[in-house]
Amino acid sequence: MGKGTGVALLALPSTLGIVLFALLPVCVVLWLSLTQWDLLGVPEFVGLQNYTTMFGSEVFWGSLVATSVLLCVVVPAELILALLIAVPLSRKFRGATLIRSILVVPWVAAPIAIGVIWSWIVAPDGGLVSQLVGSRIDWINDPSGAVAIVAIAIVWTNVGYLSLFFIAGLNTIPQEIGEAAMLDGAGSARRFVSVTLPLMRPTVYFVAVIAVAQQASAFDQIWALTGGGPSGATDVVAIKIFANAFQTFDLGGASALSLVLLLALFVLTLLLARRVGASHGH
Amino acid sequence: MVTKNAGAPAQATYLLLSVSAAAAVAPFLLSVLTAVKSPAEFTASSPLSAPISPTWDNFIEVITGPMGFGAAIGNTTLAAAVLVATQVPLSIMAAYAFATGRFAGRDFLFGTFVATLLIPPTALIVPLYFMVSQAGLAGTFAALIVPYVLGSPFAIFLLRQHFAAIPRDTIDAARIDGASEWMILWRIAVPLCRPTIAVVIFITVVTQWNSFIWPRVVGGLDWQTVAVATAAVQSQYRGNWTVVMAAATLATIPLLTLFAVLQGQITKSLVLMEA
Repeated sequence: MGKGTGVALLALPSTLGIVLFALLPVCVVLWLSLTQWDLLGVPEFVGLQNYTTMFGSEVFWGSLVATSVLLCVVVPAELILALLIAVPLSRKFRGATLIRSILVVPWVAAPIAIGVIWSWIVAPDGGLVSQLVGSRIDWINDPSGAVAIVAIAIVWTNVGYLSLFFIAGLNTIPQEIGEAAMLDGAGSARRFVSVTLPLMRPTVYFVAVIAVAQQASAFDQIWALTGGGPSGATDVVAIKIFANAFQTFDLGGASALSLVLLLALFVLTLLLARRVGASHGH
Repeated sequence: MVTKNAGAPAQATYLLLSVSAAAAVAPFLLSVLTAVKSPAEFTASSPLSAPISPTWDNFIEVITGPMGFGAAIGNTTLAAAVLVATQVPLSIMAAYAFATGRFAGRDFLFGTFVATLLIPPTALIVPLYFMVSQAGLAGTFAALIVPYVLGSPFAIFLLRQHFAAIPRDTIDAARIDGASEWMILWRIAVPLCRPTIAVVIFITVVTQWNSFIWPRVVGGLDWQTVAVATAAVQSQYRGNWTVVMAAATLATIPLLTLFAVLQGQITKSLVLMEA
């Protein structure tokens, strides 16, 4: 006793913090999802009504599709681009650190402002692209165009930050392994695919976990660019939660939706985490 | 040993990296360029051209305009300052406990902190709003910060790595000399990790400054933050791109400037996280 045990007290305030503001809200949202609440009155218990309404609503399924589509576009694009950038940046050369920092810049900026800036870039009237091309380009009001633009803005925000993890991962691979393969006459592309990439597996899954978690709650860029439109193409679950809760004041329904998001992300993370474990075994 | 030129990338790679770097900053530079043009010049000139007669009018419009941007800058700065004074020291304490303490349930508890990093913040907005409004705090300054004052799992995660890297002997020697854990933390461990703590403070400020949904939900009109005001300007001045870009500039450039000053240390500390 004594030494080291008293130290535990130092973690007390922060522990109280996660209990009150991370674990308790998870329980509260479970309870709220079983109630009807319009923000002003008192939540009223209605059993599973919010869930039956949700599962029977086309908007809900559309929102799940929009979320999955963006997830399937954004996460692989982020992983591939971040890795592509990280490979040359993991070597030591003049300017490497500076380029790394420049690539992190979008990650430091306010995502809502990023959405606002991109909304100017792609605006049909007075927008950057339209002005440069000299004709009115209106992709943001087209469902697939909007998905593409939202995806580009989000990938652009995160890719530099994610590449930092790949750089760190690449730096832990002993140089001799690559050199041995080089002596065997393997070309640099083959060396990367057959030697480096398998060794990077744990890092790839780790970054995938981060990218999936980020994307599951991506809100600001989408809000500023499309607000969920056009015709629901970018109406992801995160946007739907906000709109249901604070625009149509159906907080019970928004809670049921929040729980779906929590569970979906939990399952996805678990699957990815098991892959991390499995790839560590090799 | 690095052999000479061993790491220098081929020309094509250099091109890829330069294009990526340019793409990362160009939107910000172009938004600044637009923000200093008059609406007339904006319509008449190319978005890539330098302003002939730069003007502050758009910034004045944003700050003194009806969207409350000026007050929002004050509110956000105040909130960030309070979090630096509360969340940062409390996170430092927790990180030190996890790095150097030996107590039952330590790893489980730390694992719980890390797990909360994966909870999507959007999924907790409704229950947190319920709790804060039940406590009578909706629309107050306290509501903006109360979920965050007691500590940040991200900061704890980052700092723990750095505290754990302090040689065991240094801390044990101080313990044998009879120093209390409290003194070892603030007199020995914290000074040794100063650069990381600077990074944690920076991230705390950035997180508060950039945060949108929570302040949008609980701040009301009295406690708008910069991010909330930026979105308000976007919808109020729809299509008036010079004014909208002035708001975007005010929302991004202060922190990007600070980042430019601290960048070397920040990228280094973020990378260590993974180890």
